[in-house]
Amino acid sequence: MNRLLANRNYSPFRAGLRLALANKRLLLWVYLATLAVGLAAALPFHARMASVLDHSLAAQSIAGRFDVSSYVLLMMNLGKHGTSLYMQAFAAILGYCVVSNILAAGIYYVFATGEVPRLAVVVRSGIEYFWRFFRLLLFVLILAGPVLAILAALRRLLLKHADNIYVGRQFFFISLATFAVFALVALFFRLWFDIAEASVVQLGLDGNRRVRRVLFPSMRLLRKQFAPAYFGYFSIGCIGWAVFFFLTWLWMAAVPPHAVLLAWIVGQLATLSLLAARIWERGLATAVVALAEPETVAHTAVFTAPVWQTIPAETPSTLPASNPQETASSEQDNTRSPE
Amino acid sequence: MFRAQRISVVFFLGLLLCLTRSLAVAQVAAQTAIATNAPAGQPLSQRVVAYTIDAKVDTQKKTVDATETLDYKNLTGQPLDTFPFHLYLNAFRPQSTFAYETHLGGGIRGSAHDYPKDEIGGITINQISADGYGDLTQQMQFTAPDDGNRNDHTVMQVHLAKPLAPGETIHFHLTFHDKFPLSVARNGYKRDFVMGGQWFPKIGVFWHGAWNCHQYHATTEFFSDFGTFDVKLTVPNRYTVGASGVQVGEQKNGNGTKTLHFYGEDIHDFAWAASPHFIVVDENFQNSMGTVKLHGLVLQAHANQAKRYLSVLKRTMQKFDEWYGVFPYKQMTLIDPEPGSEMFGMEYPTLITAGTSWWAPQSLPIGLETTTEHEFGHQYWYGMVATNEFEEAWLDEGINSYTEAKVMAALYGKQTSAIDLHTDRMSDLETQRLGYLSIPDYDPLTRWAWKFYNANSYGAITYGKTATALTTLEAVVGEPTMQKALHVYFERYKFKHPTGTDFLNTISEVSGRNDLGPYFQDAVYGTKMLDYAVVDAASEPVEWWKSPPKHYKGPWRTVVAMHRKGDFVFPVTLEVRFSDGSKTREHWDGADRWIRYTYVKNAKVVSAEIDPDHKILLDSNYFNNSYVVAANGTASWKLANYWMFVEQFMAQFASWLI
Ligand SMILES: [Zn+2]
Repeated sequence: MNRLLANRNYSPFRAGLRLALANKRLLLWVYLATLAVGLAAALPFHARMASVLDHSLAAQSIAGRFDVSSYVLLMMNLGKHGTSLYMQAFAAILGYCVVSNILAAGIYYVFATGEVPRLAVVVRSGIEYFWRFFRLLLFVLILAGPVLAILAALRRLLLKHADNIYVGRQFFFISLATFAVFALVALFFRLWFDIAEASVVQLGLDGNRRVRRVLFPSMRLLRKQFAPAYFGYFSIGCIGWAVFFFLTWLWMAAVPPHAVLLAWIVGQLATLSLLAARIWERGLATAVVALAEPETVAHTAVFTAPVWQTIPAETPSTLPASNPQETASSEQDNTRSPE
Repeated sequence: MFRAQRISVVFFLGLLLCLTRSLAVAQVAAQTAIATNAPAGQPLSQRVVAYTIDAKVDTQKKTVDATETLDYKNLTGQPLDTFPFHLYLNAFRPQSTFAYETHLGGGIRGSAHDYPKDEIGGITINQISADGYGDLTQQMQFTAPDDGNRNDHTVMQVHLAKPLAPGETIHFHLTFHDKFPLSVARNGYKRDFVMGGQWFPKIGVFWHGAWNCHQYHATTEFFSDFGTFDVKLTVPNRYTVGASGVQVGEQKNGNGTKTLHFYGEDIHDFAWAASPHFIVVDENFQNSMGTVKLHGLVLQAHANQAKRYLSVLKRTMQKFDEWYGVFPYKQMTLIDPEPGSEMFGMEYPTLITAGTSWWAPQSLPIGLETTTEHEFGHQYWYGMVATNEFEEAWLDEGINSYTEAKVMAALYGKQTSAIDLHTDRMSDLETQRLGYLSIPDYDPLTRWAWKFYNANSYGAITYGKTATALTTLEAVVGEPTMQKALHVYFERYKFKHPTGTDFLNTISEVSGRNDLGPYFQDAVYGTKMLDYAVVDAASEPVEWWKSPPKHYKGPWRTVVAMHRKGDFVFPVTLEVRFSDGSKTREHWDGADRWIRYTYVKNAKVVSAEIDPDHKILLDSNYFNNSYVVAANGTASWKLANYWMFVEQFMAQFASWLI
């Protein structure tokens, strides 16, 4: 186990932050993937734009204070090139999703084991867990999809009703409030599945390849530590978005129109802020799993003894009361129902 | 008594009588100018119709029950035995031509994919009769002069047993019932707001020797004769009503309702809007004819924007007064319609609906300001110069879009009249050009409104291309001349029904140019595209076969070539700049497909630009209008950075599930 998780006095919020800060290289790998996806879309786009703009005086309407109509006309005139540029951008996003699947597993692995976050470690472990994470994603869609769809439908219904009565600012706040409810539920699902992902990796360390049957024990874990986990998770999201919005505002408000490099740096910092928040969230999920009370662990019969036995000796008080019988039964359980 | 004496006495008495009568007439006339500032109260238009309507509005059921009297004066010079009426509200049924056309080619408003039940509306004439002709109810029959759709009930006609002689007036009496749809195509209700537009049986226009009474189409607007409107509306006490004309009375009925009395003259339609949530904001505008009351009815939800409405309205009126002519009515009513409705942005005589949202910032004039300006502009280009909107929509929407761009530029900046953000900008004129270029070559301006390829083409050409083409015409005749031409056109054709030919002839006449025919042919009657490009701009040593010495200073031979890519021929100017700071301008008639210029100078070419003064708005591509020898990647990298940022954001968003 990662020794950073050994201190049980830490809240998941704080423990997640410690994990993220101790593994800054993870942010680098994730950022490089994001940079790659950005470049994959932007370079062909630039080549196309350069052929139209680089020798044109009309480019001033783009280079200086941005003339929206010039940009729209440029896009309208892309024709066939437009389709291929959009396809490339779309394909790059699909590729990014695949890479994200690998990186996510790698991040949990590094968090759980405390291994040095070298790219090789992240990628190797990411590939190892790739299909398990992919299956988990399918379960996510099956479980969260209908709930969120029903919520969205309810929200639409409610707003339709509200629209008959409220207008202007009042309606906006109703719309915002209902969206907040939707977003908070979606966040709950995301946290649940983050914990499930962390659990899958924890179990995987012991050769346990469970995926589906991790979901409900993860929910129990979440329930046990709901307040610190959920509000911590929520806070991280808020911090990430706040920094993101601040930087994009700064970009628009303070970066001179011609300062492309400066704009690029600010834009990338904004991108980084969301990536960093996501890694922190994964750290929190790992902490929720690792900091679970031993009884919960035993009760859920998911987390096996060896994980806990790796906790360093300098924090003996945090060792869970290992129960060999329960551990054994857990392992039997594993062999009975492989997935 | 001598005969001569008798004659002089009779003459004197006659003179006295005449004088007294004309004084009395003048007094009556002065009293009858209720809704206009016409000098001595004389009519401003040839009043063909006089409507008297008494309507009870059921704001719960969204219905109207009314009686209507229509006095129609036969000024056609020929006997008339058939009278067609528009029943516009019947468009709001799935069987109508309006609904089918919207389904087929989209509509400016309305849903293309289904016909929701609550958007069904209609108008039923329960009874119609005419003095001296008896009951005509059985005579009523629906006709479909445009497409023969028997199920389209937007035009009804009655046939008289004996024709109405020229100069005679017929008095029709109708009772009718309206059922308003849930907000569709400028009409109906939204929440407790009711918009009474195109709500009463309205007679067609006898024009160019025949009745002109088209069906209601997905993209068409309206056409009707000038006259007077005396309208009583009974509504619940809590409602505030804005209407065409001026309010001349109010009576409490004691049953929770009140009857409001409105009167309009020298107008050709009458609309009203009712809501319990209006706040009233009034201001006055002074022009050479008198005082105009600006009567704003703004929703409480948008109270913070009431001043903006009045401000842009007043400033727009000022510009129109200055540039095109005087506004003769006593009142201009502005309605702020319910958000989320299709009632925003619509013009009726002396009443407009604008539209905003509670958050709309002032840095986006493209919302509230543009809409208010545009709809007010229609008071001139539709309200007074009452062209046929069915057949020549470019004369109202198009000319109005052109003047919109001019007024907005004058009020909110030439480059920022649509968007004026810290980082971004856009002009109203560019929104027009953008609209045009979205689908530029399917239809000419002059196509009848419902015969356009689809609703997008209608919008692009009617609004966008007209504004773009008229602005481009300024490059030929000059901006002041265009302004004068519009002024003359307004003065000459106000309270009349001119045609496109009248408009174009006025431009030719005022500009003194009889060579505009080819331009009108391509820009107005045709669909050709205009696009010029610089295809070559390079310098090389005159003795090109020798390799030049290290610090070779010249002479250089510079070759610049232009290509006319489109079929639209238009004279253009080329500006070539050289490395010694000198520049030269060439003028090309554009008749051939290309032209090449050669210069020998001790300086190299720096850039070549077509239309250096940026006057040819019809040019479909500005980016190929110039060539700069030294590349500058700022714009392309800037866009690539935006593209990258958005891509990265989308990628993170998509992978959020993982
Ligand atoms: Zn209009």
